[in-house]
Amino acid sequence: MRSTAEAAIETRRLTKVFEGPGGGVRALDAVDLVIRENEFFTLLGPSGCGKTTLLRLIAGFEQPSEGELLMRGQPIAHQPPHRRPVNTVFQSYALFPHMSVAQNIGFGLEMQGRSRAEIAETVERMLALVKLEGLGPRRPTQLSGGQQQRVALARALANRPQVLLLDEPLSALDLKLRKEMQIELKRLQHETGITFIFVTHDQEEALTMSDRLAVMSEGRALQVGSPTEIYEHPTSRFVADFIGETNLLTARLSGRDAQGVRFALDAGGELRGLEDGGHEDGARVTLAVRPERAELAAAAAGGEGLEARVEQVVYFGTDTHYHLRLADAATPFVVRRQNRSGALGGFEAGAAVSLGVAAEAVRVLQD
Amino acid sequence: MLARLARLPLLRRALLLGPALLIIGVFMVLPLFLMAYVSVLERGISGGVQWGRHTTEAYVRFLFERDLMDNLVVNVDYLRIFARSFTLAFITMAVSLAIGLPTALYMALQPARWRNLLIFLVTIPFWTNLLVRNYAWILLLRDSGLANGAMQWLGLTDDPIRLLYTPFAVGVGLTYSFLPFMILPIYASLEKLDLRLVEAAYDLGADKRRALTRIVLPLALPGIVAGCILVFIPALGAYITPELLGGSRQLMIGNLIQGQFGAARNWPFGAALAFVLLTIVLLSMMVYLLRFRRAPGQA
Repeated sequence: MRSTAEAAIETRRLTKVFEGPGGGVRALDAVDLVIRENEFFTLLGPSGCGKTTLLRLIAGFEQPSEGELLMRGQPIAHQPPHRRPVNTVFQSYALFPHMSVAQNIGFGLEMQGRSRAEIAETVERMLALVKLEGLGPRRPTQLSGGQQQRVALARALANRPQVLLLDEPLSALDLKLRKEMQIELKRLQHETGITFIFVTHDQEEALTMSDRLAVMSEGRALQVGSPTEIYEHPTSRFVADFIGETNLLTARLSGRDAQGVRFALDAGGELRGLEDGGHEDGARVTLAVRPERAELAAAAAGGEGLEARVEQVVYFGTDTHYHLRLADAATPFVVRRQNRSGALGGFEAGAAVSLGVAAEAVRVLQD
Repeated sequence: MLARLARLPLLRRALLLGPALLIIGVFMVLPLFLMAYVSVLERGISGGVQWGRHTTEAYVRFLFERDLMDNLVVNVDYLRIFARSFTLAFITMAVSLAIGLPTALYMALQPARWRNLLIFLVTIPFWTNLLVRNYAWILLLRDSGLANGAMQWLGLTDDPIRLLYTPFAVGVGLTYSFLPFMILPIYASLEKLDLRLVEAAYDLGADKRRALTRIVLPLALPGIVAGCILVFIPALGAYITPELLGGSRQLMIGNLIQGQFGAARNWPFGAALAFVLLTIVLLSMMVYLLRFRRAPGQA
């Protein structure tokens, strides 16, 4: 394992088992992660994947069952939460209802024993940072959901933590506010230079906001990388399916030649790819093709495309989705075409088409 | 709820509120006025009152007595009993709070399935009559009782220490009797407490003590206030416990009033004492609640 002095947070085989009847629940299963300084890092996965457990371990609310948790190279698993230079923005905000907004934001500094003047000054600065000037004397219950969210952010940032943990902080907001807060969070991360660890189950949020993200499932970190890497080069069926739409095709690695690898599809026909995904000749593989990376042509044109039939056409305004069945009349395949002005007319439902998939659009999954 | 009630037709409103108003009126307001009237009547020779003959003698008697020349001389005996009652009630409240708060906190932090069992355990004493429970304390506290027996067996004392018929015995009895009234309201307000707020306090750098004093206690304040009121007021007017555990020398207000209606056959004075007590309690509650309304934690 490479040791990274610059890592804000590093986990080594980090495991958390919640004891219970029937052997307990393995919420985290030997997770290895390196989260760099000043990074906007996202933990993405469906509910129950362990992302919140990982966050609570980093915050100190839970103790790991096994493995190591390092912060800037120092083990911190034994430190209680109030000693860690880590602050959390809770999903429910968890604002103190009996304190004013200013008292909420100043609470952390007060706990550190800072002077009144310093606290007041920092609170003002934080209110300005989250654009809530003048709302300091209010009670949290007098604020809207979006404003409460900002107070929660300001309260967590006031301590100037080395790492800020955000537990699905936007899930309670409506779509428009959520979009605003996404941009806001990016700006705050940029301005403060603090490492953000962001938990979400929303793949679009993860792709648009993160510098890097980890896709989690059943307590494991399946793949870690930049949004582009994760979207363009998913390594597993779960990641390919969870991030964006994808067409999954089962096939056999049938041979190699100078141009790359050939795959015989179970649905009939052949696809060419550039990579073998670490599989041997003759191995059964799963291929992933993004809907926007496939081309459609009229069947009469012939060529190398796969035989398919249009089953349904769904118009989305910016683009149109064609739901196809491949040659075996069973395997579904979706193609997304942008509706450019002057684009060729679409295809009607029932039309026979030729499906073109370029070799570089074919991803070979590892499972 | 009240707004909805106000929209109902008059008859239905009357039907809904009627039974409660009737019961409060007949069984509380009416007797109260009756007692107020009794307190300004002349006493009957063998108990009761002489209807139609008014006097403020009963209230004068609270602070003064008449010497042989019929002059008024200040008499603090009754004030002393009031002071003793207030002191004992306050100590009972303070000790109940000191015991009840940690107990309620412990209960609220247990897994949900244990909590109902714990509430059940707290309410078990209610199953037995207060009288019986106080007799049980006599058995425990008397010179040959369990407490002295244990101390002698441990060699802490040779001769039995006098416990029964002391203010200590009354304090123990009152605390024991009213402790559930402290625990339950505090528990109710702690149970509603969002534990994520405590986590947030830890997260922001508060240690356990400060999470308790800055977050948990302020949010549990309504329950604490309710518990204190529920213990203090009944303890102030307690009758059975001081009667059984306090003996004749540890009179409290309750026993004094009872004595006036019983052995002393001075109904007007008993009624006057009750109204002096009622006035003091109402005034102190008003001051307390007005101050509390402005306290933090109450939006």
